[in-house]
Amino acid sequence: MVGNKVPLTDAQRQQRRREKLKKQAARERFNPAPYLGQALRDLVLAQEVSPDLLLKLKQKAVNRFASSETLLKEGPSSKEVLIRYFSSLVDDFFSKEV
Amino acid sequence: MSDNDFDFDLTPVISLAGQEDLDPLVGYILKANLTEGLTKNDEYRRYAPDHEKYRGAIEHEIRAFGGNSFLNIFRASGPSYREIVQDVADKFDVRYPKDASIETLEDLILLKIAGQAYEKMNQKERQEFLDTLGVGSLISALPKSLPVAVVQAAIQASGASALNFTLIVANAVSRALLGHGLTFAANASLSRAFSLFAGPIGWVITGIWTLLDLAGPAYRVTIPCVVHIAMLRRKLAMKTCPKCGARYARSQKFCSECGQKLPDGDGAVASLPVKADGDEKLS
Repeated sequence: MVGNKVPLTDAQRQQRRREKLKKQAARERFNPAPYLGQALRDLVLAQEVSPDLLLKLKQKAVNRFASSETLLKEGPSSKEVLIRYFSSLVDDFFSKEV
Repeated sequence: MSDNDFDFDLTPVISLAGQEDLDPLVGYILKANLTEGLTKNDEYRRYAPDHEKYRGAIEHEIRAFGGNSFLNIFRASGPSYREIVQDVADKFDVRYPKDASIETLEDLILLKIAGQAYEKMNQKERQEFLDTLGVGSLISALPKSLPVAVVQAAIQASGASALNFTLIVANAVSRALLGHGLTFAANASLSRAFSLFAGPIGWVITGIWTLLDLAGPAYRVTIPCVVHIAMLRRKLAMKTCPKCGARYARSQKFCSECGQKLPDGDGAVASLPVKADGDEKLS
């Protein structure tokens, strides 16, 4: 048995609209900062940073980014450019932090 | 530029582009004269013409122009770059799947322009055009209209074909609108293609421009910018041969120009397929 449908109030409707827009904005604008944050945590945990370790950390951060859901539907050129961009961000980050 | 302004499809391209890559984009924006805001930007005023120092302003300006046709007042910044490309695709009556990648959208727009230019070419130019894209030998009789599906398959299969195709169109647009071609180290056959196809593609662009005078001035910035950024996306995805400087795709083992054995890559990007400490592989 189906109960009576309760119409949404204006406030509920607005709330749903806000959530929808928020999700849409998140889809449109991807923020790479969390990946950098994780790279930093890895670096801090490692305590001592040798060139080999630095490369390994960089690989780890870039690999994590490359396997993220946001990249799955991209074409090869977009993927390549995004990975290169992210790699340069990680390079900048490490050159400032280390 | 804050993290919130990061645009998945635009920011990486603008961030990696060099001075020569950014120059045509600035040219297209400045041609908009009264409606552009770039020349009022502090960083532009301070550093122009060193485009690499105000990449954020260039990106902002492109998105702001895209916003002219999108009720921009409800947004914190311009629309996403994907929306701008979709808008340009709609302008060209391009049909595309809703979930198409940005590359597919760009390919379809460029194919539409090339298709119109192809109809303005003579028999010899058509054959050369198809040969330049590497599909001439695949087609037995020279078709009257551009075999879009064949060309699309060819440019999707080969990074070099995709780059050549986008370079030819972007160069012709630059010549038609800015009065000069792109600054790019091209081999002999590509240089010939540049001069040969600049005419037909230029006529198409000039024809579109006359219509845009009436339909919407923002397209005079967004259309050439979308074409140029499509080319930059392909260019930045390629690597450079250490011996002769030719561009090559990651999948190539040897340089197609000089035969040099190519390195796997550099630094972290090269090692992407290698599984590192429990991280997932690049799919």
